[in-house]
Amino acid sequence: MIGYILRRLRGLVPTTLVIVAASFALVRLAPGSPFTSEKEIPPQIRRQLEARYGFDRPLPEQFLRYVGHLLRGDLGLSTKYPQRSVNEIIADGFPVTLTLAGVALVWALLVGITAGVIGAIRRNTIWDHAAMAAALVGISVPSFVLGPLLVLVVSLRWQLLPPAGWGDWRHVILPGLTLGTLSAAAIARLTRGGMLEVVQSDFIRTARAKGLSERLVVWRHMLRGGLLPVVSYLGPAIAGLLTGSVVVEKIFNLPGIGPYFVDAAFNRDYFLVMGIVLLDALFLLVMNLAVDIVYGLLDPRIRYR
Amino acid sequence: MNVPAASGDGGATTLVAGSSLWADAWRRLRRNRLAVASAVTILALACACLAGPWLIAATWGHDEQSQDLASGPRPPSWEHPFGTDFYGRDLLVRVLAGGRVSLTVGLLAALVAATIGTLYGAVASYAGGLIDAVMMRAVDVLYALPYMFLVIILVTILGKSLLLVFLALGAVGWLLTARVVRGQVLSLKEREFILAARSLGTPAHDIVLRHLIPNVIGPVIVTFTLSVPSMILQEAFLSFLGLGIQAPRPSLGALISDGAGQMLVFWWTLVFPGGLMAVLLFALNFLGDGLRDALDPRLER
Repeated sequence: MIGYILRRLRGLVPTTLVIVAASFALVRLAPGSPFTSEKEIPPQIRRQLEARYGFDRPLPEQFLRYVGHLLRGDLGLSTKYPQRSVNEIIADGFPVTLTLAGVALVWALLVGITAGVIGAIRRNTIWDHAAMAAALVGISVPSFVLGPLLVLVVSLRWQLLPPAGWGDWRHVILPGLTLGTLSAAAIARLTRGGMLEVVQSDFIRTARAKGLSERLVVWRHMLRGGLLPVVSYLGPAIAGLLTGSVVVEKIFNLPGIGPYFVDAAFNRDYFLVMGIVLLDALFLLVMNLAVDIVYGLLDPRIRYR
Repeated sequence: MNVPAASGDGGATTLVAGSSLWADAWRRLRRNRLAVASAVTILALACACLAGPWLIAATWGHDEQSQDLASGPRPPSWEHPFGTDFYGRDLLVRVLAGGRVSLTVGLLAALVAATIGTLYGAVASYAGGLIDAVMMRAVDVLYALPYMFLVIILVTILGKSLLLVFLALGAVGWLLTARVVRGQVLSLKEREFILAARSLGTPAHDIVLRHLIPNVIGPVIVTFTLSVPSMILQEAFLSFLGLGIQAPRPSLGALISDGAGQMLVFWWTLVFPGGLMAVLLFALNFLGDGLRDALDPRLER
């Protein structure tokens, strides 16, 4: 097990290198530069600016220097916000994005698994149909429709929660709901399907035959089988939450990392774009590794060697 | 063509029509009333989106771009069933035209993704060994990335035309199809008919294109159908961020984005485009679910 984790961690190194190289190539091959704006910049000042960020060197040298800085934990300077380093911008924004994604994930798991279990054990009843219809609605209503509607009803009509901004726990509820609903719906469908798949398997019959109470059969044995597809969905789900946070942060005006990314891609803010891509990719790679480990713990048929 | 049955029992020629996978699937799909209703809804919406803007322009003279600042924004009325927007443009026309963009992008992007994914998965799986390992490792790496971020970079690099949006979406959306196809081919390629084809000396590209891919078309159709709504959603996502189709051309995402900004006063500018989007996605998802149940008898409930 430990050997397996170490081997996977070692595997992250080439993957990360590929990601860094790919994002560098993608960003630098794009037409335009950080200093093309409405205002004409005098050539001398422009040359000075380029020298400050090292853009006057040949590309391979720039790449090596970038990798060298990365190894020291330095993500470079933002060209849009000259006073700030990419590290500072990320340190400000990423905790907000992570909090939002975390709340959304907890909400998605709680609601999704509950609805899925109800659907599976009350199969083909009104409860099942209601839960699955709700899940389909959840998949079909995009976050940028759901978010404004929630603001309209909960914040403005009922005045229960703040409509936008960031501060205490009340600010995270509506964005979390908005972001997590899609995953909740997907998890409900996966849980139901996964449980129905194991309902007729031998180990459930054995569990019943040895006289376990129905509650134990459902919660210990069936749910475990039902959760396997959910666990393997968690990797893409977390990726989806990070992506979705871009829109949700915009709707609720949160100081997360998402809006920075869109602006940075527009402004060709090279180091900021690469920094955010690298950070998100690393986060996802580690989460995927964690998901694989949990999968092995849940499924006794899998052995890590 | 009629094939006389080999009559071993004294000439009683009873031809039992073999029910193919497709006939079976079609029968199962028709029995699924919700899926049929969804298919009808999608067809009706597609017709409305295709012909609607033109019909309305011909009958009432509203088109999607002409502005009339004096008459906007107005709530729904007989003349403008969905109301008008901030610039006095008829919202019904704009919503329908936006729906047309969404459907086009969704279908084309899903088609691009399905084509790339099928070829990639089939080739990787049939080649096997090191090639398979490298190709699927690349898929794993891409799968782990927040791929909307790649799309955003691609769109800002390539520019913001309709064509490029769906190419960018399709170019990064083929991963799931590649995985599904690879899994199917993995077991197919051990079957006798592939062995037979190989022993006849059929070249590898013929085996992949003529023997393997036709046999995985069922799962490919299912992933295709289910990826249409997600492509539509992603195009809207891009438009919402201002990265998709550019104004004054309407798209559902951009309309929703505008509507969300002014929903307090002009509720209809959010409700109608949001409503069409939700109904469209709902029907597409339902149809995809129905197709999956119909084409995959193992999952019969």
